[in-house]
Amino acid sequence: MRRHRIGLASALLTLSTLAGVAQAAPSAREIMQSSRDIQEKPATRRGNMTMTLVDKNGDHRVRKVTSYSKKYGPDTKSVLFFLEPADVKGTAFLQWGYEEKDKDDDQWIYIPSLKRTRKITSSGKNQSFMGTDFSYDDMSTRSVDDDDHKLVREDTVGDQAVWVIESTPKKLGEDDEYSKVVSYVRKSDYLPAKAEFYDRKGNLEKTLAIQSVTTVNGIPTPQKLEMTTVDTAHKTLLEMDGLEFDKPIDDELFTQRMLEKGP
Amino acid sequence: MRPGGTRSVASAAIERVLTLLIVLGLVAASVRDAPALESELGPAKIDVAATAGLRTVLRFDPNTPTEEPTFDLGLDLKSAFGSNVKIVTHTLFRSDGTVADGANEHTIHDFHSVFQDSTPYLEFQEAYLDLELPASALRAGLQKFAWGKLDALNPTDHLNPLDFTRPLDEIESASKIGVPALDLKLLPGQIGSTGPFEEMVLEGVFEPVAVPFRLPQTQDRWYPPLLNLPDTIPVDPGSFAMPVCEGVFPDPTQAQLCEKKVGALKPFPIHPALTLAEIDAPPVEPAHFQWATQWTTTVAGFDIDLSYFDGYDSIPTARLDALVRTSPAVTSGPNTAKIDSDVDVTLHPELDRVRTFGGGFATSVWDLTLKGNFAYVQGRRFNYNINTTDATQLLALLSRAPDAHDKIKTFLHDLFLVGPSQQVELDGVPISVERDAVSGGLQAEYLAGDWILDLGGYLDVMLDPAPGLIQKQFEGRVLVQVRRTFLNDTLTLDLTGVCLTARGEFVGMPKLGYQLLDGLTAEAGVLAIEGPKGGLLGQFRQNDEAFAQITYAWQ
Repeated sequence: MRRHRIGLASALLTLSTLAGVAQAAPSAREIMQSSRDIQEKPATRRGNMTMTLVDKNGDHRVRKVTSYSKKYGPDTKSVLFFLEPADVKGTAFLQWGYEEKDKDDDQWIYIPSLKRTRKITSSGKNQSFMGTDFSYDDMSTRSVDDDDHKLVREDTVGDQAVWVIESTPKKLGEDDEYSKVVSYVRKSDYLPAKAEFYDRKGNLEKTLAIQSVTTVNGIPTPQKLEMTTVDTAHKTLLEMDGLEFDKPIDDELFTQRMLEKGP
Repeated sequence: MRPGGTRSVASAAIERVLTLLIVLGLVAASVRDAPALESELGPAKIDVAATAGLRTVLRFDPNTPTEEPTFDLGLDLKSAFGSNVKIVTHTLFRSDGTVADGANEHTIHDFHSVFQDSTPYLEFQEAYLDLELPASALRAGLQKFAWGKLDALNPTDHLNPLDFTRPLDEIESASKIGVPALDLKLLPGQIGSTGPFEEMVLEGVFEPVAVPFRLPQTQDRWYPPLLNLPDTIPVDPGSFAMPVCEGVFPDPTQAQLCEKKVGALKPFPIHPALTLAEIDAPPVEPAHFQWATQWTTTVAGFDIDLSYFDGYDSIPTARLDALVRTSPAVTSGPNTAKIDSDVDVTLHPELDRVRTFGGGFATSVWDLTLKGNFAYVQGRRFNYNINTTDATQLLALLSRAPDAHDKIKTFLHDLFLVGPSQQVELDGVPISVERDAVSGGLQAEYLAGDWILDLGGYLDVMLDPAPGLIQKQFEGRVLVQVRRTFLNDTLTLDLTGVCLTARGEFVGMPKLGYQLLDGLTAEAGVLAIEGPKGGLLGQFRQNDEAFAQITYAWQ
């Protein structure tokens, strides 16, 4: 099984959707499992994502994509269409993600200047996603049982009471980008208020802040997120709109032919 | 060839860099907050995107043809009428600095000329209608195709003729010429997607118009030297094997005297002159229609394609018309005539019909993407090297004209025995030979972090070799491409290298690009070519150059 590196529609919720209010204080693992279960719930997802990249001088660059995903049993097909900037407009990415162990995901990218859909095999989980502070690994779903989770303490972020959960890989593999992730989970709705990502050497690499939350089909969903790379002070503001869950999406959309044609 | 400029290389470089900087500043200042060009007009949702580019070149050898700055303005227009009907156009305006002058008087590129006006020109690269039909899709109009899995040097990708006016600096799609065509795709619902086969598509393409390839002119920077003629060809009359006197003189004594006179002639030069003629494009009628079909599917992690093409080859060939004229002799004795002669050669580009049976695949192996395409090409024409000073070889080439033997014999006879003011006209000399061929390639791609590594190996095999051809029987090619991005994808380092193994030829192009603003990119690089001057790449070895370009895209 490969993790869905650009399962973008899934990624819209990967960093969030810890909804489903527990009746009693759950364990750290139960919180993460709840998050995972809710992520898997919608059969289809679609939405638009605007990523504003801000460097330490305050200069802005904007990336816009629209995404669709659909579950096929345990597998997921997703497609991304790049809208901005203009020089990458028309580029599209298709992924057929498989849960089956040892079965590689199928991935294709359409590049308008070549007029050719290219099969690709991306092994760079740590690679920046479209030049943002999010890596492909950040945008992927990760099995709860890949990590050990520990409730470190209770705290507050802004006016929100939170649990502080520390997640570490059970076995730090070559593909693991982080040695530790610390999540600050809001007690009110189980959404993360912020998170800290530590590199393989244990140094703080990136911080994530959830700036606003919306509700889609009764599921609390982060609408604005900000990821900051500590070393470079480079940050990415990720804003989602037009989110829709469980609306019908034609199977045809998840084909190579549609990469060129567009949604 | 156009003479090189008299300015120093350094001053030319400074001037171009300054020009680039000025344009760069103007573009950056004016378009930073350009409005979106997307709107709805009645039932149509219209999406407009545009690009502007400026490219300048610094040639390393001032004796090579110059290249003025090239300016591009591209306009893409998509009009969607609901989800099933779409009209798409891609239009390019270009002032092309690689050419010396316009080849014809038409500012808009047409479908029947090999030599197009390029300073400036307007080209409708694509203009088609997309229709989504039940279990099928139809595209009608001017369009470009990209068949096969390989990114470059694809042996199954023949549907578009190629533009050779900028052979080494254009990406694959840009060098294709859009063709009027009907493209029908039958989709899984109609032909049935069963078992392990996913996304099965059966595609048929019909092209009623045989659009020719495009070539630069002899004075242009990228005209192939191997398709040019030398300034002078020294001729030793004794080297001709043709029996000039045989059968002419019944009396053996006279024949012997004839041979003696021929043998006494001194070597003389021939001065060839080459003229390029426009192609006689095939008429639009059933005999010249082209068609192709392709079946694609995905099965067990493999993308597979099988294809067949029956149409005109995208590789240029030509025929020659030659008029050999000898000037009046300067004689100092009966057997010592000095002959001076000219050959007026006209090169007529030709389209040649081929049939191609091909297949290909793409799959993931470990962390690699592995792709391959293979094809059997029936009836391909391979060109002779006409850039020769070997008179015997030239005579052998001219001997391929219809009735050449009799015409040349009469000409030589009259030249040697009657007098030097003679001429012979040889029309329809083929400068190529028809052979079947097998072509194939394998490409491995590795994406990791900010790195992209591509390695490709390709082989063209001529099934029945012939001497004197530009192409060897086995032409191996190795393509290496390395890309590394820095600074959140804003800085890109590209290194592309192509090696032709048969003659040890090489082209390398390191390039550095920086995204100054969203949509605004500046690039600079070097194009270096090495190899023997008789090679496919080596013939351009004097064209090493540095280049810089800026491109802005907005929508």
